Amino acid sequence: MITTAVIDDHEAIRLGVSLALQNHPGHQVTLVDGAGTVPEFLDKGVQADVVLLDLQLDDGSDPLDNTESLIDAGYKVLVYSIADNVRLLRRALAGGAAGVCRKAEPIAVTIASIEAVADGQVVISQEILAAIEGDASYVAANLGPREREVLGLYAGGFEVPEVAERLTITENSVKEYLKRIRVKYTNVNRPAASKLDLFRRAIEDGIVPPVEPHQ
Amino acid sequence: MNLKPKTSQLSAWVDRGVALFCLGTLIPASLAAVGQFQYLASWWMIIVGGGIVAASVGMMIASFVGWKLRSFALVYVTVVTFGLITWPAAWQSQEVAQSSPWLWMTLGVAAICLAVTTGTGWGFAYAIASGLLFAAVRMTPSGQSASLLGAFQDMINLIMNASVVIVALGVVSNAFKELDEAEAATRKEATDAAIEEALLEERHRLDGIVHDEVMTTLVAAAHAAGDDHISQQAQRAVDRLAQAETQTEARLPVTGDQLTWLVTDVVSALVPQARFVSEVENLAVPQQVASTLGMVVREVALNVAKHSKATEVEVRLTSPEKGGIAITVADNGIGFNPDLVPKRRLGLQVSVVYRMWAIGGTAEIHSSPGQGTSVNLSWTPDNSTVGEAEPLKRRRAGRVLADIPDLSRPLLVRLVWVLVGLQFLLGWTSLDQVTSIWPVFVAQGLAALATWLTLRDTDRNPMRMVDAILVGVILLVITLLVQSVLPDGHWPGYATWHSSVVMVLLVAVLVRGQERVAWTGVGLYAVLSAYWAITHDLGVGDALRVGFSPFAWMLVAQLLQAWLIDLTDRLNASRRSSAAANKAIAQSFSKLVLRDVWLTQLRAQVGPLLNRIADPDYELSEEERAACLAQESRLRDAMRAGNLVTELTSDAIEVARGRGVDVRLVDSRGTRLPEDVRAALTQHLGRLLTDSSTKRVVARAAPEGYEDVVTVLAVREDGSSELIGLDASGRVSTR
Repeated sequence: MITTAVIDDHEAIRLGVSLALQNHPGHQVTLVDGAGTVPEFLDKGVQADVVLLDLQLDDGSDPLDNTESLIDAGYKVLVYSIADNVRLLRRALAGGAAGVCRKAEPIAVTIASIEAVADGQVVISQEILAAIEGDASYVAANLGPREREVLGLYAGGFEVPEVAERLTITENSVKEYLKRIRVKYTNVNRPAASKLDLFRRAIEDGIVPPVEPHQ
Repeated sequence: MNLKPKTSQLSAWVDRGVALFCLGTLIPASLAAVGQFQYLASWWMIIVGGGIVAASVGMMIASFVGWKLRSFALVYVTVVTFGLITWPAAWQSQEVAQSSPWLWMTLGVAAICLAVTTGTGWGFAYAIASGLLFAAVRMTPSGQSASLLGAFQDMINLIMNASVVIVALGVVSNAFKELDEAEAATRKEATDAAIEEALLEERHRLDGIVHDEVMTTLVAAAHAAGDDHISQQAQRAVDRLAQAETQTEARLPVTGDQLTWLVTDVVSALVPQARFVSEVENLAVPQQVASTLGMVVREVALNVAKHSKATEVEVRLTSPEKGGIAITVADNGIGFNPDLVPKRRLGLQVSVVYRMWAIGGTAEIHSSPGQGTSVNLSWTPDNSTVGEAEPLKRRRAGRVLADIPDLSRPLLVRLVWVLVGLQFLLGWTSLDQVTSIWPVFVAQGLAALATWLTLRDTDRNPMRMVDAILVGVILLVITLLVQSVLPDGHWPGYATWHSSVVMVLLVAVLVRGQERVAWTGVGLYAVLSAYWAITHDLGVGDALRVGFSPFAWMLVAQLLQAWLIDLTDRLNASRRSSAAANKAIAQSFSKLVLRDVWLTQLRAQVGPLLNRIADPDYELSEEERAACLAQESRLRDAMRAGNLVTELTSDAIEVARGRGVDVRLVDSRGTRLPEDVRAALTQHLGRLLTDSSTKRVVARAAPEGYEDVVTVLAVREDGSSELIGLDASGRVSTR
């Protein structure tokens, strides 16, 4: 059973998620709690695997800070938002958010994303990669030509198999490229302020084996 | 080079200057004419004298009332030319005239009038033709039976003087024109920047409301309708939208630039292929009128986009009457027969014609099948609205005055060389008048030195005091040198060339900021000249002619300078106040656009749905929940990828999504797409979205720097795909 919580300043949304999950039986996800801001949520000390985090909260907090403090507290973060402001989305990614899911998506999609994040996967979506692609200075400085090509095709709307077919490489290579782009972005844009940050990077870079929290 | 700058707001000042010049010439001309009146036929005096006076006064009045100067100027030229040709016939005395025909003074003025009102070429041509004619008249008894050399001197003097003034005027008016254009460009940039900034600010505020209240409500309602929290949330969204719309503050009139901005914004969102022509710079209309015009133009553009199939659309904004506005939207589409449109179908009738009536304007729709459609909207202020727009107009009239050209500009000052050179030429042709030749050449060498001193370091203002004093001293030495070789007892003609050199150089010294030196110089020169005239048995008239004409010109230059400085001060003051006004207007305008145009649209789009959600007793149907998500997607597209969609594509996208097509819009660019790309994109998206075999469409604006500005990917049911890349000019560039 996967436990999840919602941090959103709109009560209607917290309620909507709760109702939607109840009306969608046969899944492994349970909503345990909700809060309007990250400090409020952390104060409660809720046990949850995945936190659904809205990008714009009432307290005007930065998604990067929010994501980092949630990850430091041992949660996995899935961005849950409406009209993703690209800048805020990039901040959340830099903070280490594992994925993004739109509020307007059918609830089944949300559940699938929660399950993937709980499983330790990095969610790769067109949304995220388009946000990365739009960060032109990053792309120019940090991506190789092949990575750029894959990114361009994927952000342009091709699915993984289609990208693979166009570039005559395997689907797994495409996924590998996309994951690497995503991880590179997170690392490059993440300030390594603490030992914990360095440790986290080392895990992501595969230098240190990941330690699964809350098991 | 055309001396009549059409764009220049300051052409009025040039006109006034010319008229003043004509009137001013009457004074010395009538003084010179006093000795000749008795020999001239009275019919000639009535026609020519009366005609010149009437035309001069007419020009003065016209230049102040704002009429075209041209007809009066042509009368002046005609009368003067007629007078010159008929001079020998009008001369009634058998004796040889004692002096040169007084008409010569008006010939140069006529050439200048012609240059200003008709064109520089005509002015030069007239100067040469009248110079030749005058030389011929001079050699007749009525023209003092001048020698060939004397007639030639007069001709050169006439042509050169007129030419110098024409060139100087040309330089000034070109400077005006450049400044006007520069001013208009900076003004437009400032307005655009202010509007852009204010719009962005307001847009962010509204986006905040849309995101936080409207979209959140729609999503929540789609997932879990019927809860009290959600109906409260919906009620809050409705309230916030209403609140945003009704905030009232002092509403400033909308300027021509802003109206152009509004129309361009509204039309290009619907009809990306539209081209705009705007000639409404100095205009101010009440906000309510601007807002209605915005909505009406939007209706017209919507019709063009939906029905016309036009490839070319031109939107023209003009101001045919004072304070009025006319907007024409013309397309080359399929057109329609207005008589065949059923009266029941109100469409254009209500949304366009009645709305225009409501603000006191008119709308005309011209169309026939195959001939395209043209819609003319016009509005003229009535008395009640004029009062509202007036204060702004007055302020703007001050604002559009361009900078006064700096008279110390190198190009203008270098004309001094031409003037001085001309005087040298006249001095050489009068060498037979002097008792000794070498002092003349020494004086001319000194004059060249003084000219060089006056004109060096033109970037420096004021000029060096030492230089100015040196120029003054040299000029006095020149005066003494020339006077020492002038004959006794009669006027030596152009042998007194130094008088003009003194005048030109001292005026230049004055203009370059050394006023005291210039005035001291001109005073000493007057004393020296008066002493010379008295001791050489010359009359008072001749003494005045040589001694005081520099003094008079100095006075004119001093007054002109004072006037220019005053004008520049006033200009700067009005500029400062207009910068603040610009910002206020831009803010007010941005609210107009967003509230009255966008917000009305938004409320019409989501209002009914929100109201139903807000009703706690109402239960949303399955379709309505789907509609919630459809509206949310639409708002999301507009917010995140407004670059990629027009209203029509939004409609098509909504329909396609309703059919189950997966439509995604991605904007990795951020900045506005070129119009050509938008037009091409609208066309391709429209085609792909209405194709029933399409399963997925992804349109993406690539980050700046990519070869393809936009890519559109369509995947069909059978798995085949089509990728369209659009380059910066909207052409399909790949695959």
